[in-house]
Amino acid sequence: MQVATLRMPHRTDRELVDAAREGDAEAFGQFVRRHQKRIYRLAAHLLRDAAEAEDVTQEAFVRAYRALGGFDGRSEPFTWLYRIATNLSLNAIRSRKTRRAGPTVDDPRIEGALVETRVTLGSPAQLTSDRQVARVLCKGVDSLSETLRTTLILVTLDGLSHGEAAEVLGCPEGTVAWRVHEARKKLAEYLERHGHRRQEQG
Amino acid sequence: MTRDTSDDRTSSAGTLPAPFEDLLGRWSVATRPGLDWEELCVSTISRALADQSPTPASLLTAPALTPEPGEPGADVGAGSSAERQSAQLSGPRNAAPLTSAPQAARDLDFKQIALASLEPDPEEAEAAELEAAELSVLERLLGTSSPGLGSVGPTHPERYEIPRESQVRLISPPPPLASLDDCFHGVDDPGSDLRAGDPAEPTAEGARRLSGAEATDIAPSVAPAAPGSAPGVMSHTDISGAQPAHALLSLPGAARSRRSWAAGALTALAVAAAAAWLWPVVRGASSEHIAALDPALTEQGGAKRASGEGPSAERAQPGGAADDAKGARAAEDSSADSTQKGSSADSPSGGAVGAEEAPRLALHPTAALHPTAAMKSAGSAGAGSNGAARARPAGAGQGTSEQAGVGPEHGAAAAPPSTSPNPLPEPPDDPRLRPAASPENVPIEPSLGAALAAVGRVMGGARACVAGQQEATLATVVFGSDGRVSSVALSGGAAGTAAEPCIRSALSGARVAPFAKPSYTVRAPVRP
Repeated sequence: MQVATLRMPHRTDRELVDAAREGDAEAFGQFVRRHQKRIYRLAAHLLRDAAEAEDVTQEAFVRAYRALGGFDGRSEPFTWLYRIATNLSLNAIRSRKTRRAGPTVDDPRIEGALVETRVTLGSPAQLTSDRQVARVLCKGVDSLSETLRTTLILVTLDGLSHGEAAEVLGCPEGTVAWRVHEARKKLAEYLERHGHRRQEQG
Repeated sequence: MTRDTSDDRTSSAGTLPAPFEDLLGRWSVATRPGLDWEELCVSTISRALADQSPTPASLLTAPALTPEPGEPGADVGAGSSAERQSAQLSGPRNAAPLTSAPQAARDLDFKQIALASLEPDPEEAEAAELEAAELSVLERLLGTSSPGLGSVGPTHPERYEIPRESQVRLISPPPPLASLDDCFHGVDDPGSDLRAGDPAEPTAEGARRLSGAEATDIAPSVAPAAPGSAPGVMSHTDISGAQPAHALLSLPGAARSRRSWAAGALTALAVAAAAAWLWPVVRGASSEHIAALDPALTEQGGAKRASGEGPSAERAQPGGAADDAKGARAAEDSSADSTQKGSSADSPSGGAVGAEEAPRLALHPTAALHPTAAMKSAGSAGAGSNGAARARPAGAGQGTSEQAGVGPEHGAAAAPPSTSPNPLPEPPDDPRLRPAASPENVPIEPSLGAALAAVGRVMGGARACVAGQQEATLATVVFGSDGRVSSVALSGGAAGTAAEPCIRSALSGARVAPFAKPSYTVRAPVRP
């Protein structure tokens, strides 16, 4: 299947969406394969739960498929998909009975932060240190407001540009930049309060 | 996307300690054990094909996030971001709704605005009347005007005198204008407008408004204007006072001005003679230098001055004291025979001849070798252009006015510094890479937002390089002080693979504005 995918001519997201709108299920499948990991990562960072993130990922593509007829093409298909996934994630967070205070044992973010250490066969001490860093950072990110956290995840963790994030969130680019700056500032303050001061040089 | 902390001490707000910054740049998430992405994909497609329920509209709109306190534009209602910012900056919150710029432009009545601006202000009119009265009293007390009073500059003897009547009329309040057409009429006497009036009866007033050679042509006889004389003559020449003295002196109402001019010319002649006596002493070294470099040029200039083309030669060297002497002599000659068309045309055409001379001076090697000569030639080009501009309304085919028409082109040809042996380097095409006007304008380093935005603009190309890969790649982009990317380092999934040069190439296209620091580093995750 992988070989067959590679031999297929590369089609842009717009072409895939246009084909899927015409009923081409294979094109939509290609669109799903291309973006499902990113959507999952976004949902996992927002929801902090792997199972919920899977559900949201699947639901996002289903909702997108059902709304293909209304996609006007003014934005990129993946930002449109990001918007659906963000809305679904925020809905899931708001529908929770209790607010999670901090990272849980099975927080997918903690294990995800240790992937590189495991791959490079780091020492147990290194692994413990990295885990501690990830836990502190998770707590810091969770201490942010929903608005700042969502924007920070989209831009800093997921690598969207300010313009793309502005399209997803429906706000000006300047607002996105301000939110990212504010989120990083608060995160730095949180880390400093917890003894992780930035090392000044010179 | 994070920023390198190695050499950054000025804007540390928001920069996290190193291990946290590293983690932010490569933070992936774990999946549940045994998750098969292909299986999830097939399941998703099956659900999508089977599900018939419509997608709620709320999922397709922007997420409802609560604005942060202090967020830009957070407390202003709907509208474009520009309108929100404008409302924040300029108006109270309970102000009337903003009108969009196009609507505001449509609402403006430009004709009313123009008419209102042309209406004389009563206070200004009163002040002008007072000033005019004071001037007339002064004039009566003095009897004759001293040279230079009302003149534009001491180096232009043909401008020594402006008829007092003209000045008085200039500062007297203009009558209210009934229409925009009145803008083109004369300030003092709309009936003498040559553009709209009868061309067969140009008056002395009209001739006074003419400039350069036109005034010379018309003034002596106050004869009917030649058919095809320049239309659209506005009153700007009244204000500049740039009429040749001999032309003004020949006007019927300028008898008193003629007397004052004679006194002024005598004084100027005395001053110029003294200056001419001193000038060779001051100029000795540079003249010898020019003569040593190019004797022919020096001889040519001297011959031209001796042959009676004084004004042209003098205009090629504006600011010199000899200008006064030669110019005064030229003015004297022209006043002696103000009806002589040929000589009177010398004054306006002087600039043109100067303009002819200018390119030779500027293009000549000595001009480049000798900064003073180059400067003078450039000045002469400007003078030539001015002279030509004054003479041009006279129309082509009138004696030396043709030469005047040639002037600007020569002046323009002399202006580019491309003939210099050391031409200045061409500025780069990209305006962001052009050097700032002064070193103070160059920032110490680019802002974080600018650097991230620059990388974000080319991130699409980098992402395309890692399409299909599983792991994220961390790119470290180093900007040089010229704003270009000097190096790109990769770590993570794409490092060492065929995608690495592709990512490097894509990220190398990022540009920021030049800055003072030697380098500036940002880190950006490149995710598939």
